[in-house]
Amino acid sequence: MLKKFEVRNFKNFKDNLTIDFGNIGGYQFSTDCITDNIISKMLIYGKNGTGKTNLGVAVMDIIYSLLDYPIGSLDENIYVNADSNEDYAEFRYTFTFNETDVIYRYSKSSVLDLRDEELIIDGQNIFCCNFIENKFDFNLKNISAESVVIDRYLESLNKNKSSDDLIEKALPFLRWLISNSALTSDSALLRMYDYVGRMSMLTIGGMVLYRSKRMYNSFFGILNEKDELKKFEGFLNLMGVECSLVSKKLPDERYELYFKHKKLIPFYENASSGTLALLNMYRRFFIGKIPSLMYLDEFDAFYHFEMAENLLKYFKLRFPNSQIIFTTHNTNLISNRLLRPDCIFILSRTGKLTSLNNATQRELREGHNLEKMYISGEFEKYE
Amino acid sequence: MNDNTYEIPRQRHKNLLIVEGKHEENDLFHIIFHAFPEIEITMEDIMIYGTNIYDLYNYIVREYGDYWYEDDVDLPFIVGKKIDHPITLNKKDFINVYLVFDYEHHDPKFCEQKIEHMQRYFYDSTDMGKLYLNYPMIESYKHFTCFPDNNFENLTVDVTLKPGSKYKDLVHDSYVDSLVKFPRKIMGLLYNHYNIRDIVDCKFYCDQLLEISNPDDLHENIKRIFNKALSEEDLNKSLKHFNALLSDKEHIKNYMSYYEHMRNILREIIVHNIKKASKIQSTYSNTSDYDELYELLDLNDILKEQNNVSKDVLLGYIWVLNTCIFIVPDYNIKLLQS
Repeated sequence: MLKKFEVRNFKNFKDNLTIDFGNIGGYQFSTDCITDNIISKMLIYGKNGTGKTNLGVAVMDIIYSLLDYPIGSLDENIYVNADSNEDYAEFRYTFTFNETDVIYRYSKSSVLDLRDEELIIDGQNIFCCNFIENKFDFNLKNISAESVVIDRYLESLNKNKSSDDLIEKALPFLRWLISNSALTSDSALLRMYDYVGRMSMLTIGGMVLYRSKRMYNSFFGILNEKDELKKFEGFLNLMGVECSLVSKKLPDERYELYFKHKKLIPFYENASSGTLALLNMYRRFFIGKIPSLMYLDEFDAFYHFEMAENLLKYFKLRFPNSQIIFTTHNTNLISNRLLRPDCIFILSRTGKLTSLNNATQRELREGHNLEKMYISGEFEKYE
Repeated sequence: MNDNTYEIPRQRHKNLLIVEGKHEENDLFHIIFHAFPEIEITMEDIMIYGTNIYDLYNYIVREYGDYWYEDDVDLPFIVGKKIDHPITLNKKDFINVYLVFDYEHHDPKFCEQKIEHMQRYFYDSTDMGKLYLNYPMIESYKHFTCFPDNNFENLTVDVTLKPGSKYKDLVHDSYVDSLVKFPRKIMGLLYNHYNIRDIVDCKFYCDQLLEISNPDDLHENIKRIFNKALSEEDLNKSLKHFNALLSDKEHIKNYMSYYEHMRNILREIIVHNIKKASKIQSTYSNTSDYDELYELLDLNDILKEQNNVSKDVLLGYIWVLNTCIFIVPDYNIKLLQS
């Protein structure tokens, strides 16, 4: 699990911003927000323009180091903080797997332009690469990977230096190491790799952005299996969308989803934006691999407050071991019924993230109406 | 004001203190909030409204009907209407709403049912407000002769002791009373003897004097405070005057500022009252730890017991208990740790 995330000089976060998932209070309620002494369900609240979306982008940045490259155009201009004299952003991830702490730290000038990277496992330095000064320090025997031929990596670095292709230029050693060494299946590195591979972010755009209907074909195909359709229908019903669904395979091999009435109504063309947003969320998270960390940015922007509550509860129930960060403007969710003060955070205009229990010296209790306290300004200093 | 300003900007982070008609209690709240800065309230942040619990009850009924306790009562809204506040007040703009009233068994309007309803309904200062009833009156926080005060545990007053001024006389010039009045005494001296007539200046110099904590450089500190404010003649007079006044004060002798000392005194008062409340409530617990006892306190049970023991008009009595100082542990019990 991700225990701590730190970022600095990235987009609007000029100063160090920390999400400390391990900083939990001693609350005896809403214990389903904590998994293995780590905050697994987190709500971030912040005024417009405080950087809630940017924070999600920052958390997901490691995906580009270890797995995918970003899809679409790379907007290089807005990566590093615009008011900073430094031309790079720093990231530090602390994971914990079976009581083994893995720290991966790196800095980049742009999404693909890696300056340095460092890996520490249980306090032991595994490697440290400084690509600017061409300095490298490897202690791979600490992870039983001393047989790896590092020269091949260094050679490929030199070869790619002259390349104009940014993707070829930036090959993080960590990614190379995982691909080129025979790590045991219980290795913390492989677990980290697996964890990062299951990290996912959903933004408002991702929820309702117009998509070609063809893009839903494979999802509708999955729903064509009887149980899957029932599950999806049950999900919509639970969220308060009362409907019956029918799935059909068309003569041209495409799949179609309908609302069941006397006359079938095509789902995609007729569903409300809220229902489509639910579909996109379901398609993204409830089919396939269980996500390790989900960043759901303004996840309830299209939902009635009751549906937002239901959705949050449903995520807690379905993903007890996953880490989920919800961002919202819905004060109704700032409640001890759903969460707890150490799991509800305020992102300030100055880029500070503070949990409610750390945003006041008052002892916050289960009976407190956190929503009312938030609105009346109890945590004003941290907004 | 710019072209886009369309209304008075919303002001939040406010506090409402509803107290007995006259504001004699302000000294206590001033000291509480000064001695416990963690609570983050200053007297300037507080809107104070003076009334009587039964009048307040009637205002609530007028606004919400007989079954007001089934409604979402907004006290700042009611108070705003009473004082013709220029903007409609709303509880969502208030961090804390405190209701501090005397038990006043002798009040002709005394009604067990009404105060029990009020006590049951107003239980959260951060939400609808919290009612602190003091027995027999708010002055009960002064009812100590020393600390620890073993007599306090069994201290009662007869219901025949009325009106309230008699109880006030009883605690007048007590050990705590003289401590609490000390800032006011200094203010009076500055105003009357040194002709500092601006109340803001007066408070400023008073706070400076109360900050002094070292008896070894008392003289120098007083001189530094008044150096530019007073004429040479007054300065020399003030040096003697305040030197004599401060040098035998307990806080100075203990190398503490006045408010540091008062923090300790208030802690003592609070802990004594927690233990006393626990006794009145007949809390069955093996512990004598005040924080565990505090967790078990229920102001409703205490009120019922006080109603019970004070029923007999001749032989009845009231347990002396101050609950409004529970504002501190209600905020955070850890503030009572030394």
